Amino acid sequence: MLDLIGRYKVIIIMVLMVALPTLSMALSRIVPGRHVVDRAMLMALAPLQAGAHFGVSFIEGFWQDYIALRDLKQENESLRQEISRLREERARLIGVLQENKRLRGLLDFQQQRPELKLQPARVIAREITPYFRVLRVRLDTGDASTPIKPQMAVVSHEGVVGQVIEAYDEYADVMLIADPRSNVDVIDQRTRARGIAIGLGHKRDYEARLSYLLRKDEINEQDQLVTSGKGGIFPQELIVGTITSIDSREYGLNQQATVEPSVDFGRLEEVFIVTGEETAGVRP
Amino acid sequence: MHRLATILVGIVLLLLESLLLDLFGLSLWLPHVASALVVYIALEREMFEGCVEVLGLAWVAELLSGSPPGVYALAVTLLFFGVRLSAVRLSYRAWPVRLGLSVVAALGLHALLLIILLMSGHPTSYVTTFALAGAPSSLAAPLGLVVVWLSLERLDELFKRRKNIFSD
Repeated sequence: MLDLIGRYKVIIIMVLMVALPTLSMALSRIVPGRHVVDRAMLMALAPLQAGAHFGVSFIEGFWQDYIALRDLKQENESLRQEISRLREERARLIGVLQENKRLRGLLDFQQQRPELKLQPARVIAREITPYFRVLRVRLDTGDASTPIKPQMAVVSHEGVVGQVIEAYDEYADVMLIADPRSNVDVIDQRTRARGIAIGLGHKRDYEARLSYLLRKDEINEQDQLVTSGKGGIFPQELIVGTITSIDSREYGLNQQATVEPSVDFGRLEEVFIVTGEETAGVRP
Repeated sequence: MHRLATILVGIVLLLLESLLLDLFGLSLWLPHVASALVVYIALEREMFEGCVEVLGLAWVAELLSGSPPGVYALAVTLLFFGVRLSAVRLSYRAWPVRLGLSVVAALGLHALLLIILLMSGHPTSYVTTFALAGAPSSLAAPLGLVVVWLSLERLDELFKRRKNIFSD
């Protein structure tokens, strides 16, 4: 019998190979589900699968929680730097846009007043005492033919800034029209009433007082004041400021008013120094 | 012992495949370890030895495949006979031919499964599964064959060396 099996073992196993699955298929139609041997094998394999899954999940978890977190930390740091760089770039771009706007205003001013010889300068410092209203500026481009001198007018596209009180090399100190030492001969643009704008030197604002204005002269709040061209420093028709309040007394020869300068001195960054004027009344 | 070791290595590789599928969902990058095992055994083993190993592996592969009872095992068995028959006429010594055979074997396994399923009264929707998933995934079968071949070849060398030591 064993000899017979040995002789036909290949045929027997081949038959078994086909018969067993076929039988299994046929049996499953009669009795659904796996038989005992299958279930036993499945029970043996399941712990292996579970163990392997646990092992790989552990490695995966370790990877995600530790190794990947290291990358996350680096990524986080990189993103922080990126945010910082973008913020800096944004601030710089805003600055460029604002500067562009200011320079455009200055250019417009230069085009509106072609007769004025203008020397651009940049504000680099402000006064450190509350008593004086002075800015320090640095010339943008050196111009040897027209050196900067005291009593040269300083303007911006918004209006009159002040006058040079000191000049050295490429730097100059500019006394603002809000400084108590400043006197600017002005006229009301609407009524042509004339007066002197004197700086008040207030701590919290840059206001000036309009004095030596005749009582009979008609002025109103919101009237715009411009330079008269008299006094030898400021060219004509430069905007000085706006009348904000009037102190009209019933006695005396003069009336007074408060003037708010048209220039926002707190945000001033670029100015022009008027080095000359091509028409009559040149103020070097 | 050698046969048992082959079956055990095969089981480990099949478990590894199921694990990879579970973790990464390699739907189209299926290594087709079962068909690769069948190819190796069909080409490298003697008839009886190969039949015993395939019988064992087909059973385990079926338990891991989730197929209805008997279906996967029968398909694997028929594939074994098919590869064995083709080896009578063709030479599979060169690697490119072996890799090509692995693709054909994987495709053949899917086709056999489909035929058996349809013949045993299962829904015809398996045809769509075969066309969209089974057949395209056969292209990744060479990956499985390389791993299986190198593993079992190393095992064979190990047993051969051991046999030589004992015979000396």
